[in-house]
Amino acid sequence: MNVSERTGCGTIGPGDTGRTLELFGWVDARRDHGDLLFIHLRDWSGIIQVVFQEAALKALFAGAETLREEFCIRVTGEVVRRLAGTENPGLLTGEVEVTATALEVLSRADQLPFPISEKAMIAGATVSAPANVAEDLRLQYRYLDLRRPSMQENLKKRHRMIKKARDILDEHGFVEVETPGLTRSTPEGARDYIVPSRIHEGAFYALPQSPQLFKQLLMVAGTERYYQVARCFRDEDLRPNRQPEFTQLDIEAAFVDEDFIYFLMEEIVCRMFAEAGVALPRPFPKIAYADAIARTGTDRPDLRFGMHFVHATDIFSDTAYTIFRQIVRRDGHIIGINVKGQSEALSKNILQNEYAKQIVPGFGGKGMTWMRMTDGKLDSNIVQFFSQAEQAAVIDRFGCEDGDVLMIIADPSYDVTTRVLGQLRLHVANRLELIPEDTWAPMWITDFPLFDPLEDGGVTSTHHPFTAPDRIDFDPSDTADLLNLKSRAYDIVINGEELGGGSIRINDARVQEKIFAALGLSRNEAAEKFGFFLRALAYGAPPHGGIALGIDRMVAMALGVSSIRDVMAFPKNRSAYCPLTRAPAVVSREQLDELGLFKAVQTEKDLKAYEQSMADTLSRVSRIGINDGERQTVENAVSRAEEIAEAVLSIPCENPPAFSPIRLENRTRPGKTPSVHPASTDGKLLSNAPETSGDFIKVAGIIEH
Amino acid sequence: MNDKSDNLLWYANPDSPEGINAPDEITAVLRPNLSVAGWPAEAGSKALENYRPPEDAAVVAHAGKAGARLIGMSRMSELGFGITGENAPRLLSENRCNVFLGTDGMGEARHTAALAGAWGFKPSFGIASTTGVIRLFSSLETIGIVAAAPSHLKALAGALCRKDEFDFSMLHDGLPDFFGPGKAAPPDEVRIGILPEQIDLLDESDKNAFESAVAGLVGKGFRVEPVSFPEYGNFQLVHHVMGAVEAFSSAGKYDGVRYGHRAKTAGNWNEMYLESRREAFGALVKSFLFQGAWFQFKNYPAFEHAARLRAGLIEQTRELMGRVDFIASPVRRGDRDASAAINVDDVYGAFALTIPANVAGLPSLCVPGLVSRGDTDLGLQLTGGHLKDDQLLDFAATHLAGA
Repeated sequence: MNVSERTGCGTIGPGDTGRTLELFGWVDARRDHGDLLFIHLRDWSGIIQVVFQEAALKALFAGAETLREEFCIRVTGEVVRRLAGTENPGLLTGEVEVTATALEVLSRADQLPFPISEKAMIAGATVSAPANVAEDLRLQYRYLDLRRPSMQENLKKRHRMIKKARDILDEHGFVEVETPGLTRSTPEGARDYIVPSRIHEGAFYALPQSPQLFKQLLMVAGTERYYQVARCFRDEDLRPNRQPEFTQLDIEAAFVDEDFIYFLMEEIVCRMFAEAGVALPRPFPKIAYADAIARTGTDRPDLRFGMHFVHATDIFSDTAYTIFRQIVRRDGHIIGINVKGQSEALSKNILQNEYAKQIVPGFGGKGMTWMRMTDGKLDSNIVQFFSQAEQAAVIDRFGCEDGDVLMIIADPSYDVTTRVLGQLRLHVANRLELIPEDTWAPMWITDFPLFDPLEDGGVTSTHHPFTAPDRIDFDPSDTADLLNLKSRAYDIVINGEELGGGSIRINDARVQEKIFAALGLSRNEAAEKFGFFLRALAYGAPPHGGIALGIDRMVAMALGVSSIRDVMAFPKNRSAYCPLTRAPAVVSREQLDELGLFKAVQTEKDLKAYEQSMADTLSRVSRIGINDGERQTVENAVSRAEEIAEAVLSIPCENPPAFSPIRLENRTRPGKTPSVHPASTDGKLLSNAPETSGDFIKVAGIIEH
Repeated sequence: MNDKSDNLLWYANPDSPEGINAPDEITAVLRPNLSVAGWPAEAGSKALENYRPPEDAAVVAHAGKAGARLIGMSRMSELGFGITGENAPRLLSENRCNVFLGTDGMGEARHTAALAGAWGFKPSFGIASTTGVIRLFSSLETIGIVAAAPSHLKALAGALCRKDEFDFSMLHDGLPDFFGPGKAAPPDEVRIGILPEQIDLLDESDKNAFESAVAGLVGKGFRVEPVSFPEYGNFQLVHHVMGAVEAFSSAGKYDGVRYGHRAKTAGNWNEMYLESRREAFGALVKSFLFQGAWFQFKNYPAFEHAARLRAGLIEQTRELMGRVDFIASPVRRGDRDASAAINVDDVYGAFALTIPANVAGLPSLCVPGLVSRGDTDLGLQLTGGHLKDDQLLDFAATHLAGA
């Protein structure tokens, strides 16, 4: 193979007409016209149509007829212009095609588990969307899924974005330093993935949740500007868009302040997004944490749309409406949003029966009050309880006009009031499609509280215990004072998603000790947990600060894909399982013995428990519970499956697998109009749901909150 | 819903009373895994509790057009895995209906026929629609037709085996012609193969019964010959591994969201599935699903290898069907009771003779009255070549009816 003579399929154009080219790639699609056979040949530069003509090349044609999707082939042929009217504007190379003169099948492909082609062979035709393929199947055959040009494009864009960040950091004098993957388990943050040590039997490494302590040690070490594209591991509860391992752009610099970080990061983030064709507005506004909560109920505000909170507690200080009066008396809060001009979309039924009775309680609120503005007056089932002055004040404060809908949350707790109203604001915006597309609202959230209160009267770090406070003259034993402290932390939020965060760190061991004291850690406990790090702070640590950006999430957002798995080459599924490699997997008793892991569980009962855990593992992954009375039967059946598998695998056989007794073929239903099954429109399809509420099927909550 | 002990029907059609009015009338009972609009279709499982399909299965609609009067539904095994606890044989043998329509994933329809002394037919895979059929096995299961009279069997086979644009797993070319002129060859041109490896599974009494039946076939002038099939044992292994995985996959849709049973205690999404499915499936089906889960999650290579072995079996049966017209055996073993099977191995043991046709997708027929072990009819199973369903039915109707 002469690599330099190879031409990329997607690079061929009218200028190549008449040239004879050697092409390599995969059969993306084929179309058989009897005496003419067309294929789409795909490599990662693009797709070109290749034509095999029966009349000219009988032997070649017979070979071509055996071609199936995803065969890897070499084709030699001449570039010709397509006949007028047969161009395919869906292809970048659609004005030309290659007339084949030689064909070599480099390797054959089994029947595909799902279609890969994304380009129609005929202009205007549709191809099946990969969205319809079960994600676990895509992940199981990830090497086929990644052949899809859109997935390759995601990987390339991701590479470009990361390279851009590296280039900018390099320009600013940062160096990339790798920190250890096997480290010590530290007690802050999420749960660690732990790795048993064979040499130090009974002891464990942990995979890093982030390189936090190492990057700070690098600052102490005088590596003034550090960065790393770092892999991080967190054993957290499952959420749809969360992965057990993820990549972050980790940055730390000495002798810097917040303004340096803001400038540098805006430069990096904007230019990374620009690689994906997104122009972010600069500079990013800075919003204090307390303002963000007061305006949107969240420290990740989505400011692409309005509906900011309107605080109305004072209006109802002396109201006749009992519910509000009681809230006010308990020093509670009455806050609302004005959904402008949506009274037609938000009917009384939707407001009362869906939002007030179902949706808001689902967010953790006790209820919701709503009003609509009609003919210059407020209208709702409770307006009668409000005085004329109260109504006038509401109209004025919320800026009410005809057609507006007010949704109001009242609760004794400020936290509950703002959180519930924040979720409500997003719900309404999504439902009514009030969030403009192609709008970008990046921002910094600053001035976080340094501590959050604990139920036992103590405090805990809002971020982590190394974050610098805004002042150092605090008394570690004065909880009220501690809760007033602000941190020098900052988060980057874009369109309601937190893409990263960081802080200026503590570089003075005495301040660090005060923080530990505030957290209720004795000197000994602090030394036990962070001893090596505290030692380092005692040797002239420079002022420093940094940030970490979630690369997967940022790339997904910039590329407009909803799942971070679509911008990772080999992600786990939503259950933190890899269908491709089938990890995690049970390991042999011998391996566990070697690691000393059986030392602690050597009783007969414990060993049995380990051996029986297969049924429980399967129960968990397949979500089928086992009744006590069935356990033995199920366990016997699983043991039997192991015997059967052994018997099957002991029989030699090289045939391609037959998943069906007949060869399944793609076939198109006749006609050109889409077929809509009546049961899908008249509600009958869903009439069997075991639990319903109005027009909705009720299901239990997804784990995500 | 009818659930009285004096009524054998699990569901009785309120508009059409039980009983056969005239011998030529097709009076059909359905296995409740065939959808009839508005009737309950629970497929014997709590997983489909209170489920009433919005429309008829394609084959049910065809049966109605062919003049079948649907009187109700029988009791069925959970999700149609085997025939544990089924009462269709009794309904047929007590003449409360003369046709039973169900499914055949490992031989259920043929066994029902053998137990009832009736005719039972499983068509080639891919020629009858499965739209609206609640199946456990996607590549092994077809509809099944059981009829007291061979004429009814053939009429329904022709009526039910037809294209359905909503079933994408169907073949469109080379289909059998059930309505053409009869294709029964003269006896001396008919070659019937016996697989010694299959007959070795039988006990002495079954062997004697089958040998008498073979002698009868020879007496009619057919050419009966042994044809070796050394890989016969692979059929059961392949069915067990692939069947378990297909069942596990099919059962994935029973999650208590859009239909079926939902547990009351569910706190979140995961628990809702776990608990609903814990309560929904019985021990027999659950054991089988766990085997499927094990193959799928813990030993996928075994599943893939089973599919490779299946390719070999399909090729070898195709080659075999070039040498003989039909393969004969009993439908069931006298020493195994499929309707009383309570664990997965029992089920596979009971269906050992009927499984090959499901693995290879071949048409297979149960002919009553020819293989008798004492008073017990074991059923004569004739399996034909793929898509040669018409030839199989014509042969049996011409030469074996009225035996």
